[in-house]
Amino acid sequence: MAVDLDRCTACGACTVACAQENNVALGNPDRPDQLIRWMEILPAERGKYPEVSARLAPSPCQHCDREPPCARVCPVYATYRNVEGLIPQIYEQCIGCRYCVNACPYTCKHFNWSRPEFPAPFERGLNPDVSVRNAGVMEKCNFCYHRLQVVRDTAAQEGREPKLGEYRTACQESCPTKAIRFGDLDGELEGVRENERAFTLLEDLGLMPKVIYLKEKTS
Amino acid sequence: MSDEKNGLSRRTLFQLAGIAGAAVAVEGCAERERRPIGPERNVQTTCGACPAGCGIVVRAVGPGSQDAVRITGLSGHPVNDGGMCPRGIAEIQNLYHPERLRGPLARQPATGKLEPIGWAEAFERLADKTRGSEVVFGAGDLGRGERQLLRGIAARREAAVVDARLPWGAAPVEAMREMLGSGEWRFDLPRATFVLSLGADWLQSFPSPVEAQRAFGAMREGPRRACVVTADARLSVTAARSNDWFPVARHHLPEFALSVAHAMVRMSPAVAARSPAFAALAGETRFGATETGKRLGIRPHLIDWTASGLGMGGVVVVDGADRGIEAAGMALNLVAGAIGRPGGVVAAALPPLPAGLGEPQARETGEFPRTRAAPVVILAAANPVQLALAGSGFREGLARASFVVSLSPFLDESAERADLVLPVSTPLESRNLTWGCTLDGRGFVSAGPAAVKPLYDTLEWPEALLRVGRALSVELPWKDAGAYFAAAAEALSAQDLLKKGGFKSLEQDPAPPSLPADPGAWAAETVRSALSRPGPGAFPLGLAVHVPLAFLGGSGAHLPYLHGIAQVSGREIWQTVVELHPDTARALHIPEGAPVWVDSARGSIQAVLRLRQGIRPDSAGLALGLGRKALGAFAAERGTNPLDLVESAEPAFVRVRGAT
Amino acid sequence: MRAPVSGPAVLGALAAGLFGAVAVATWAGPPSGIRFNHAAHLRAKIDCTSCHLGVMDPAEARLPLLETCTGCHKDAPGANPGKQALARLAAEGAEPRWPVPSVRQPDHVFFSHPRHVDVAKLECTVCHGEVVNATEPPRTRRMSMYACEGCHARHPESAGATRARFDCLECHR
Repeated sequence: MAVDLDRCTACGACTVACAQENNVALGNPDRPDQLIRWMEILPAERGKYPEVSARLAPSPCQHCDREPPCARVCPVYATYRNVEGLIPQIYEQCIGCRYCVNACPYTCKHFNWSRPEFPAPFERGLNPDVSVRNAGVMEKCNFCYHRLQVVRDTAAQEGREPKLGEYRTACQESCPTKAIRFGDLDGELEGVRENERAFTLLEDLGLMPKVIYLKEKTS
Repeated sequence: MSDEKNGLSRRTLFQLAGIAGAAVAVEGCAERERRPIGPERNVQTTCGACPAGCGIVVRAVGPGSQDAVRITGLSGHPVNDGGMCPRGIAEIQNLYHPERLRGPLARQPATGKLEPIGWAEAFERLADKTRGSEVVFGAGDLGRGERQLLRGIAARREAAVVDARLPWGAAPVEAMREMLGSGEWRFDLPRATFVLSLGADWLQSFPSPVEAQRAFGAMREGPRRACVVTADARLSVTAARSNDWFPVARHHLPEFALSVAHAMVRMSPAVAARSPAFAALAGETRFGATETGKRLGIRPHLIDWTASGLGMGGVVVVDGADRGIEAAGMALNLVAGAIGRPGGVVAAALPPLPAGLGEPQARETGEFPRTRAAPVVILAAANPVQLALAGSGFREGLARASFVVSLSPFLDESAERADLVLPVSTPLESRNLTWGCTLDGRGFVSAGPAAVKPLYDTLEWPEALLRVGRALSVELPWKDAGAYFAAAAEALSAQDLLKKGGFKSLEQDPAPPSLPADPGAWAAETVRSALSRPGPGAFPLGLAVHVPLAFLGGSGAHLPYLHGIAQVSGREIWQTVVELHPDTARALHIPEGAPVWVDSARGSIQAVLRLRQGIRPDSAGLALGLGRKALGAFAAERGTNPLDLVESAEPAFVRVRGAT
Repeated sequence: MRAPVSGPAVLGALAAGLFGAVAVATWAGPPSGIRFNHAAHLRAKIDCTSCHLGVMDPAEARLPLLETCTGCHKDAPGANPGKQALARLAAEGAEPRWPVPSVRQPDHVFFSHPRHVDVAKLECTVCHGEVVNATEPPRTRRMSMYACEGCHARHPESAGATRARFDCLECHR
């Protein structure tokens, strides 16, 4: 995934699209600290008045390519790096030990401290392609993998390969400035890693996250 | 080992525990049942969360494809081109909200409570109560066609219409009308090369939110990147995404504009020629950069730099919150030569109105009118109890009313006080036909069918309005919503669009503007009187109010997914924070996170203190949208309402003190 | 001293409760009055997908709608109780309430019929063999992960089958 911070306006469409697509828990106003949002826009204000700037960076799971810390510490293989480089979270396997929350440097793992409730008739809007989680399990962005499965099935039924750009994540699809780009690093995102503006979060940890940010252009 | 005396041996205990465990495991197996997906439909239609008219695709699943589970933007649509805003996506939660009204309600005199009533009886009651009475409408966020319909009904009934929308983020219609002859002008952001925002957080509050985001993206593209600068008391999202933030206190914004104009006038005589009156005011020595810079607390060279940027072809963005600021901003546009220039302020090309939606049209006012007797008040998507500004007199008007009717999908704060509540369908349950003009001045039509059938006994907006009209003895050309949609679609040649969902762009040039002799004269006068407004006194901090995109128009707090969208100063979830500069807080001896009172001459609200560098030390930042008193668990009694602090959207002043 | 409640009695009560819970959880629910006879229909050479529409389509409308049945069964029902029930439903305009699907998976398992039927071209009887000779509606059963795994292990040439064996995400999303 490539997030162009020069184009992002922090509108929040990605956060809401992701929550809607992935049946994210609604949240409990009495426990705002336990709110789960897989895609978060992290605000970072810098400088001293009046020379103040702020970066607003949409942050999903970074899908670390090298030894994802969450996968390393998971005692039950509920999270791992799959052959395509995605880091899934298998809810039924998760035992809720929360070692992965500790291990993840990007704080993109979210724990269901209580059972997500969808008071009627909210449950009618739940996406049938995605699980509804229970209390005691971790969850996080999985690059809308269910959409890849739909793309693959449709392509296979039509006797063809999936097209470039056909597999879109919810956040990417909703973004009004097309700041979020998604796809194969050798396909749709060819060349993005070599972009002079490219950087990843916490680069010195060496985790090689697959979310690549393009920093703001200086005018 | 077993203690036979008690009858329950240890072995038995383990056996019992094992069975209990197994029973629990079986209980756990009774999980949520996943419902079947099919049949699945993707319905193309037009979003109705706000009047902008974005094209959307709604994925509906389940039996009869009646469960709306996903909304994505329609690619190629002139307004959003596939993009969405958080409100549009949250329409699913709006549709399936537990607090939605299931049917009409009427207040029974015997119990004083709102009780269910049939539609026929409801409209009979309305006809009864309005016979011979003065009627005042409150018009909130309605779609374009629906608003025209309402104004037409009002005009024929000689009823007043009060604009019940939040002024923050609204278009500066008054200034446009006074200076440019009509309210239908657009800030041509997509083609702008230099954008100065005069206190407008346009990325968060804008009449067409997705267009604003897209325009920003377009501005960043290509070899000639637009320069975006924002003058605001706080580092808003727009200011954070700008090339530069000028920290200007809200009540100083007109002066700032005058100072920029002053510099521009000095640079080129053509500037003054565009508005002698405004140039005369701006030319006063007190608006020189150095003097103004000192008064406003900003560096003079920024004023000169902005002047040259604007002079080279820029646009000034303002909203309709404060007359003084909008006048100053539009006047600056005028002298910068932005009026009528691509990338400036362009006239809107709108399609000809469907017959019947034209004159007579009641003009909307900002204030509740004086009526001879107790009026009947009809609220259409309007919620004055929560969102009216004190200076509008709306709440007093409601209190005086003989009968109050609320048309809304929810029992909001105003509907709770109404005598008759007429539930309206949410946008996903309604047909939608709208037309407008994109920011670059091109007209469009967007339409579509209802994505799903109505969940409850509710009416589409046009149907509700037409029946209200009939109850008021107003006859319009259409007997029901079906006839209205058919006629409107025919007039716009959009029958197919209405049936299948879609859009079209209109190839027509905007009507050439007929500007008054000196369009800036009104602005000069208005700004001059704004300058004489009192500054801070007993209340030393300038109030910097903003409306987050999540709470566009002041509503949205009832939609769970709209909580947790971060703002620049942090993640505000279910509480109202007041932003202060650390120096200010230190002087007040209040630590970050402490509960505080924010006082104004009008009232006080509670908030939680948040410190940030991105705000002037003499200002306090507050967000609108929370502080609801109705609409269920996600909205009610969470946060507080900064509208309680102000009379109007004019610059106001507050004081902050610890609450402990 | 005798305890007020004997251990074996408690044991028995719990066991009865457990058995009852399991029975309720697996019971097929009240049927629609149509005791569908698969064997008879298969003998008439009716293809599975004639009635079980939607297996090729992610839409999953797998249990027949009324119009599917009445498409063929239009005439007077006669003595056949199943056809009589169908006629009753048709008169009411009601949909048949079939027992829960023959294979019931918990909601965290995502099985794709199109992938198996349309893409892998499997015969329905590979997984639903029990209906071939069934004269009564099949009882609901769980198909364990290991049953799926067993088949997938025998097809290393299929990328999809291999993915499903080793990547939990394929089925548990």
